[in-house]
Amino acid sequence: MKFKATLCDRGLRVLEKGFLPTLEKLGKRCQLLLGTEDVHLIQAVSDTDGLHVTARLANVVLFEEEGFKCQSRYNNQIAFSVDIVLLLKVLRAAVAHDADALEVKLAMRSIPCTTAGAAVQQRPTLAFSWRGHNVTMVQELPISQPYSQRDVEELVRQRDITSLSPFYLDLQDEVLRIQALTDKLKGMSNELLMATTKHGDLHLEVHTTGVEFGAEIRGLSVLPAAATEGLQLLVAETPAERLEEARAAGESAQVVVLQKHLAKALHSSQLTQPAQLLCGIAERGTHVHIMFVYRDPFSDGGYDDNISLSFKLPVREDTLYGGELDP
Amino acid sequence: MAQASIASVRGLVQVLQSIRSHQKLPCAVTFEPDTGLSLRFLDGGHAMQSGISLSISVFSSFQAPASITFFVPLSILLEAISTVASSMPHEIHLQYPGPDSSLLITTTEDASARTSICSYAKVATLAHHDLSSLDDMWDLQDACSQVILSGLLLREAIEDLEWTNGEVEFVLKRSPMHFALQSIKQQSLEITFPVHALDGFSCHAEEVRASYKYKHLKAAFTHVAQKEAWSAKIAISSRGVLRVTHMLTLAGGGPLAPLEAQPLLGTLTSQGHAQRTCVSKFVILPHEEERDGFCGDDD
Repeated sequence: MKFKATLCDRGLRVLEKGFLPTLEKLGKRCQLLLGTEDVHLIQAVSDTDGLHVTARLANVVLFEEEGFKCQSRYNNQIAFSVDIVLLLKVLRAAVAHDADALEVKLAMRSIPCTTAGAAVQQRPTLAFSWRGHNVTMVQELPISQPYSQRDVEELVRQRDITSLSPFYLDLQDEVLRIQALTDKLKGMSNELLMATTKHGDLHLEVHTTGVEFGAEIRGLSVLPAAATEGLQLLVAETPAERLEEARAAGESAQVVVLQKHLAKALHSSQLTQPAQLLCGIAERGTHVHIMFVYRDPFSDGGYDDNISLSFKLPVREDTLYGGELDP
Repeated sequence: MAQASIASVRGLVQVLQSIRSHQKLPCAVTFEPDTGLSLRFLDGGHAMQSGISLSISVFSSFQAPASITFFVPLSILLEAISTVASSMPHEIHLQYPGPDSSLLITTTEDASARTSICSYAKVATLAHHDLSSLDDMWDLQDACSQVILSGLLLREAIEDLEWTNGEVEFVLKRSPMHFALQSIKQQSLEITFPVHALDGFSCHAEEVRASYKYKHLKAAFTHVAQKEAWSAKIAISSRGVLRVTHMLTLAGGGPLAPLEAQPLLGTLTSQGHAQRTCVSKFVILPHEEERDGFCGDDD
């Protein structure tokens, strides 16, 4: 198992300023899945309070081409978990010293045992070395044992289980107001009903004994465009009636999610500044899929295939009263 | 059915902050034809009443065929309004009765924008409560002493007294003119307001003293969120009941409806031009040693 690469400027910036601080807010640890094409930063349900988070960064964004090596017996994939705070500390030290040629490699550090006769221990680390002003630094970041083939396969399986939803709404145009609303709903209830319609409306509803609250965010872009073909305009006059009308026509989906998950996913857009914030409800309402799509910095108006961030939100059964959490 | 629409959404939320409370106890909401909307709330210990009066002038439209009063839990009402307001709509509408006898709160936005937010809240109303104890406290006729001064000055003074952790005594003296607040526990701490800051001063005895629980004063003086200066009137009756009235202005919003209603407090509003005035009022019973056992747990 070998991994050796040099982080380029863009890679360092994207990790240190964008993705790692974002993931840090969701959980203390994350799992790294290294491969020959890309790196995945994954926070499974056990790393967070219920969200499944996947950031994908193509190697071409993170590393210099020269000197890159990623080899293992399992499809050249290597996975392990790491403490995000420590990883950030290492990267920030490199940034602070204006580091040149930040190299990272998988290394086994031998720890001599103090007890007589015991074998030397091997601890896996991610070793960072760089040169800055008057400083040459080597830092070894402890990591978990690299995963076995079975565990790598399971990690990949969990990552891919997020199936694409039939249609998505782009929340980016109203993200600030949706954030404000979602944050305010915390005081009312832990859960909220979320519904999306092919007409481009997002509904958020809370039902408690003292008050019923609903917000309808209208006019959002729908993807794919084909989903909006053949739709009749809704004629009902109130948000609740419009949702009912869409539901009766089979043009909507709805689930119940935890307020805190939605709030966290929405707030995650702050540091990475996506161009699109796509929100979809999976077929049969098994989960909510939120994808951040980024603009390609090298072309006008195009979207970047090399960077993405997505969330899978668990749902309760489609009723606000009872039902087990379905991960 | 009574209805009211208000364009100063931010202003409404801000003004409601002045009576904020975590208590779910009933708040009486009244639509009064030709006058406006009022909220009144009696706190759990029955020693303090708070309320807000919004004159018709602050509404972009107001319809009340007759005087209508209903009851909703105060904290839920405030939360519902501020949640509906969080998307910063152009207008908020109140309607009673709404579906299932609820108070219906809805919003409107600019329909021409590509994206828009439409939100609503249906607040369940409570059974009718007897208002007579509120009325008794609210409209006292007996002689009283009063003074008008800056609400900011009063707020600062009450905040300064927080650390003394006990009752505060209001002291008014007729001549020379004197108005001060004194901590009961820390006798050395007395805050005297400068005479030039006092307006409309009248004292029904040579010396008037009455003390009140700190937490009531804190609720009455320090929750006003307005940044611009405002006037507050203090009145103490011969039985020591304290009445505090804050004259507030509603921020933001569209053009005003013409002001036809009577001014709320003769000397303090101007009839010459329309003002988005709103009155926030508190009535606090004096703290007396004998009352402790009767009132029970105020916390």
